[in-house]
Amino acid sequence: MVRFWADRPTMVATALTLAGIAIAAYLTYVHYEGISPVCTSGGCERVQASSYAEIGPIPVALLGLIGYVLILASLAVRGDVGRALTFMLTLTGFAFSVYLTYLEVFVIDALCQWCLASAVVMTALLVTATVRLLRLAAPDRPAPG
Amino acid sequence: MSSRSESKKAAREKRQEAERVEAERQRRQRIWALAGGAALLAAIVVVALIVISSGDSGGGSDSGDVAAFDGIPQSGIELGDPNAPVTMVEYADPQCPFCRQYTADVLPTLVDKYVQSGDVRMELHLLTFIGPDSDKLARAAYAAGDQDLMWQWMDVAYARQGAENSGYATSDFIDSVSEDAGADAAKVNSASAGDAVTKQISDAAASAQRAGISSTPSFEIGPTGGELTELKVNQLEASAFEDAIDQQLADAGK
Repeated sequence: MVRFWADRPTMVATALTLAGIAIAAYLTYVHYEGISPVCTSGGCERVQASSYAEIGPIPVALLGLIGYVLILASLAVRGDVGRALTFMLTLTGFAFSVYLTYLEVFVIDALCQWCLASAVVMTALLVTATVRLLRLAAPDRPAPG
Repeated sequence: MSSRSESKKAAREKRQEAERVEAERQRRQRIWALAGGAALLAAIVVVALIVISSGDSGGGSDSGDVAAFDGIPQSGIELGDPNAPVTMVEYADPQCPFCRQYTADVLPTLVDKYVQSGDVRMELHLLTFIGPDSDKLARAAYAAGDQDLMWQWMDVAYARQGAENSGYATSDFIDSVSEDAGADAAKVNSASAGDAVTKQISDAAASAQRAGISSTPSFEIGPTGGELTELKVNQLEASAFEDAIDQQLADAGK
């Protein structure tokens, strides 16, 4: 447990991931309950009811939740492979968030504040995961964690 | 002796330093290889997700289940016996995927159980808040209502629902829906541009606003001719509606 928190980027990434899990869990809950999310941007229901809110039988919100849980698990994996895994997952999450935000702005024509919040969290996670990975790659620096 | 030992030690330290530098170099290479691999894997996953997502929202080529409405009285937006004791109103947007889900998964059960028996009459109010395709589809559906085929028309249109605001509601699309719903396509086209349909759309929007409807599908239920109240459901499953309908029927003495 102590080792898990040993370096600052991991600590920041863990906090961000927990925030992401909270957002995605809430959106998954409202999806399955069929209720409206608390929304100040006015477009949440439209985004939630759009045909892009599901990929096959899986709601995008649940996919996000699974993604964040995988990221959390990857943060607990020690060593280079763990860091590369976190980087891969956050890069995937970031790229998919970019696509979803594009859909919101240009196709669905409505913005969902929760989705945007998740996109921001995922962007910050990618930055943090990149820092974690590159710190290891930088010459003449002891590997943290 | 001492000098030999020192030079040996220096050589060992030099060798160890070289090994350490080499190990560090190999480690950096490994990290970059991992990063490259991770980026490639991420790209593959994202492309796959996008392909599945866009393909999934493209709609199907189903023809719906228009036979489910055979033999049921229908007039404009109304389905069922006009004297049924209970009225259930649906507010829907033709482009809304949950409305499609309700129509495919729940409506047939409710029609079979309550409308066929004359216990419940239904009304379908179409809203057009999602975008221009909603307006075209709603107009055509209301126009099909002139031929008392609105419910069949929407059933087919939902079965072929395309990606939102993709422009899928072309005149060819509308004609094919009309034909498969059993309607006269030419009459649907001429009526859909008429003032009567325009009024139906604005009436539905006004009615939704009055009822405080902010999402679709939304439902109201109550005694026919009496005050309707919002029917809130947690899940789009027939069982979620049955309790409320049974309660209304019990209140009506059925």
